[in-house]
Amino acid sequence: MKQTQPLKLWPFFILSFIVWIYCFRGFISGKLSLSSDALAYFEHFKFYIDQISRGVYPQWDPTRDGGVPIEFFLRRIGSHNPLFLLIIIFEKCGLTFLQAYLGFLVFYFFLGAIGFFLTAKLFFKDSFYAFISFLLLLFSSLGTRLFDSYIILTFTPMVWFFYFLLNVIQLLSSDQDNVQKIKINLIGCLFTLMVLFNTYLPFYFLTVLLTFVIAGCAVYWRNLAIVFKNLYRFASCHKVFICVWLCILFISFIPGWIFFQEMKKGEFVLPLRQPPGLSQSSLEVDPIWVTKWGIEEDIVYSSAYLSDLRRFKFAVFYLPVFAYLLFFSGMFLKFNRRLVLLFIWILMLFMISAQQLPFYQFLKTHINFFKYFRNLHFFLWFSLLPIFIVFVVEQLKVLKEQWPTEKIQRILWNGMIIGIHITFLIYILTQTKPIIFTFVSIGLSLIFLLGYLSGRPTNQFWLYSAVLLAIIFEAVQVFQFLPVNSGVLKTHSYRYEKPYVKLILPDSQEWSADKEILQSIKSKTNPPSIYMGLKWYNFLNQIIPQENLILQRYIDKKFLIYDRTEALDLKKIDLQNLLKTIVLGTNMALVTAQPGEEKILSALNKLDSHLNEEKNKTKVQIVTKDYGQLEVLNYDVNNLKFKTDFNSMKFVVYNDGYASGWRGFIDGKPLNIWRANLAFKGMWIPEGKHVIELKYGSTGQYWFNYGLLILFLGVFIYLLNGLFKIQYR
Amino acid sequence: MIKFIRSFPQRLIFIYVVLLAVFIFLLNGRTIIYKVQLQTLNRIKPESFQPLRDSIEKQSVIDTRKLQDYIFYYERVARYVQPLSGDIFGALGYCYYLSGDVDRADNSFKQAMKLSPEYFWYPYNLGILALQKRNSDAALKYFQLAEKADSEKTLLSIVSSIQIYMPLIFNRNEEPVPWLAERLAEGFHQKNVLLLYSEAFSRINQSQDSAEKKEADELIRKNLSSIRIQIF
Repeated sequence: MKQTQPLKLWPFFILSFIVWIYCFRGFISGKLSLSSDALAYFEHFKFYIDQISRGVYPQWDPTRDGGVPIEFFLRRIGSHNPLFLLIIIFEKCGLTFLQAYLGFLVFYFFLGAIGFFLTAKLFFKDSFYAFISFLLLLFSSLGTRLFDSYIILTFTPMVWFFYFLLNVIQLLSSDQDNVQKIKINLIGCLFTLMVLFNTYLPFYFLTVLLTFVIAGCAVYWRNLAIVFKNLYRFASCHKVFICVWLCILFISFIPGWIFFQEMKKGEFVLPLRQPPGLSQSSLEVDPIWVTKWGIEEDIVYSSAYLSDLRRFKFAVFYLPVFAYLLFFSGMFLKFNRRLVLLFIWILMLFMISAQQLPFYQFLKTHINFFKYFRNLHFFLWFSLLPIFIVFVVEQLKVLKEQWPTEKIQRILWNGMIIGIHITFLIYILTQTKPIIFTFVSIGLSLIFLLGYLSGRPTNQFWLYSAVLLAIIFEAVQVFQFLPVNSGVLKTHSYRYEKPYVKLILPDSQEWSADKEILQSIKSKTNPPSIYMGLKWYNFLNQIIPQENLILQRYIDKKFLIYDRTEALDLKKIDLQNLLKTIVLGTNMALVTAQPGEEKILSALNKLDSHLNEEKNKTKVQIVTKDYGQLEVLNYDVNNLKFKTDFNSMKFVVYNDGYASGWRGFIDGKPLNIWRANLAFKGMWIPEGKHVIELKYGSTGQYWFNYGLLILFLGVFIYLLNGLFKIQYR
Repeated sequence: MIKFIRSFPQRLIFIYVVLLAVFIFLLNGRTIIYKVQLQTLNRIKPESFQPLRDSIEKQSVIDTRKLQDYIFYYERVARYVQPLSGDIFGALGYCYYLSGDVDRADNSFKQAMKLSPEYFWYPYNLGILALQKRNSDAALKYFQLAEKADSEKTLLSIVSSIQIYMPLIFNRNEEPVPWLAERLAEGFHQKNVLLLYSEAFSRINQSQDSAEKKEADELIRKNLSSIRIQIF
């Protein structure tokens, strides 16, 4: 496109964003409920931001499924991302958490869209084509996934990574002295990599990157030799910079790596998605989950809905009709290198993520991380969709470049464009139930393409306006159907929206027991209902009938004071005995020794039998609000501090999940925490006055996480500063 | 043109053609697509068939949105499932009829009758639709076809329609076969009545007396109001 005079693009961007916000106003305002995974991610964010705002880096969630370590959920969101702090800023500006969170999601998506525009601009070296790419992305259904998925958390940093990477490649390809620019763009790559590797599944991104590298090497191997040569020269001259770069990247891997090691221990389970039987890690995914839904199912599913756009709903893959018209118009073109690069990239990603094709099966067998992929269809959304957009826009560019100059040929090519539009129109009319603005978009596309390719409208304003209208008209009408088909009014609070970090003690000592239940419990009867939890809590949850909320009622009695204990062998669990303790409240805690602790446990059991011989038949004591011998002093998600004043040695069970990361202290000295009643924490407390403290995670881990937050923030500020300097130097 | 053919291997369309051939012939593409379509159908399947069940049993009114969901589902079943069977179009025709789209209902029942000619309810429904359109000759033809239908085969078709008809019957507490047989017997009886109406109406149509015609028309309108389309 001829750049006759520079046109200010920001009004077009603002207009596009306003139209987009208008389309999703119901969801953005919070009137319509979040759906599916978006709801789960809202919970993770809410919990994390709440705690960070209070100055606590959360490591444990006592409110979820009997108490669980929070690391899995933090790795899901990539908790060290400094941009999440925007939510706190929005909240400080007076917004509710939901408004702040939704505002952040929209901001993050727009940031991704701008990143996509800039990447496309680098790729095309032209703002007009980049703007078309931006519009196609913004008005695709990727934006709808803000409200039912978490794809955006990977998409935005990934787009920006490719922006910085392309910049580095281009700078290294030139002979000019660009040291400062290369450094800043490498820091951009570093920051986005840190964000991506901070999540528990960076493998999606790694696959996209790997396929890009393979496609790039296959097509540009000669040019890449120069790039690598210059990179080596740059690294030789800036050894300290490269070392620091690598060190920071290495540090950002650590939380993910520790998390993976933790999940291999088998202490935590993901019963809804884990394969049955032995697996190396709890993160492994049952193949049934994967083979139920891959990328090809997503495409066929979407095509079913696209044949009647009035039924448009969440998870339907939609691109404005203009993209398809560009695709078909470019089908007869001679390909150039860039088209080949994009084509190979698309093909590889498609073959990898289509579980019905033999390639996926091969990769799953031979590449270790493929067993962790649960949602292969995500590749369609955060990689194939943007690459396809760039591909079709590149086709437009090539079409313009190859547009003939001879009159007869020009007529033929114009005829071809018209023919494609008419064929498409006939297809729409005969095979689908079209909406009115599809016709409008097809008409505008035809006018735009014929005009643009013949080079008639020289006024850039009209060109940008025409392409804007050709894309947004249909999209706006389509997005109006989303609330109709997928919108549910938000009528109740989401999890954590009501105060939740409170340790509420019961009012009475009453223990209502259902004796009949004991007869019916023989083995696991309930289907798994916990997404992620402790292995033995999950076991309890599956054997105790859920109808009468027995397990919940037991957990609500936060502290239980026992006079007697008995050993519980995890290899031979006496279910009846266990359930007598949990359902009937007998005065006998069941304690499990960790390997090497068996002798201590036996001695302690004998001791308390001797001390409390008379109390054999009484019921367990429940710590109520007015219980005098135990008083809670301090409580947050990671810690609990209480004081006791018993007249004899007692075994205290704190009904919160037992995990090996918990540490106990009595009057400042270490206190052993035992697995009590199969899934909870228990401890022997001597008579007299004592202060007990329970903490989850080590102090080192805690401060390491804070340190990482500061490191991420530091790199981000450094990057912003560098970009600012480059822009205005 | 020659220039275009010569440059064909350099064009994008060439790659698509090659890939399509690889997909179809080397990777057994049709089987893959079929599998994928079945997976998709499982996801599109409405969460509950209760409203449709109630409509069949208790003649209750279905919410328009839910009805559209059923139509959407059965349309996709008709598009994806191979080999096609009459029950798919029977259920689809029934839903079209409930939505007020009589022409589509008519076409679907015709398609269903073509695929399952021995099934009683399809010609029966087509006869009713023809009568509603005051097309007595066509109604007569369809009721005569219904008369020839095999009740045993009709029952057998229903109970072997595991994916389509059985979900609409399955939650009944009682054994479904006696209930279905009873409905079928009622249907046969009703068909005899309607056959007589059709014959009479056909004869009146041939007469010149407009008052008689009007009277017959009124009679049919009254009697048809209580008769409903049924699929089993």
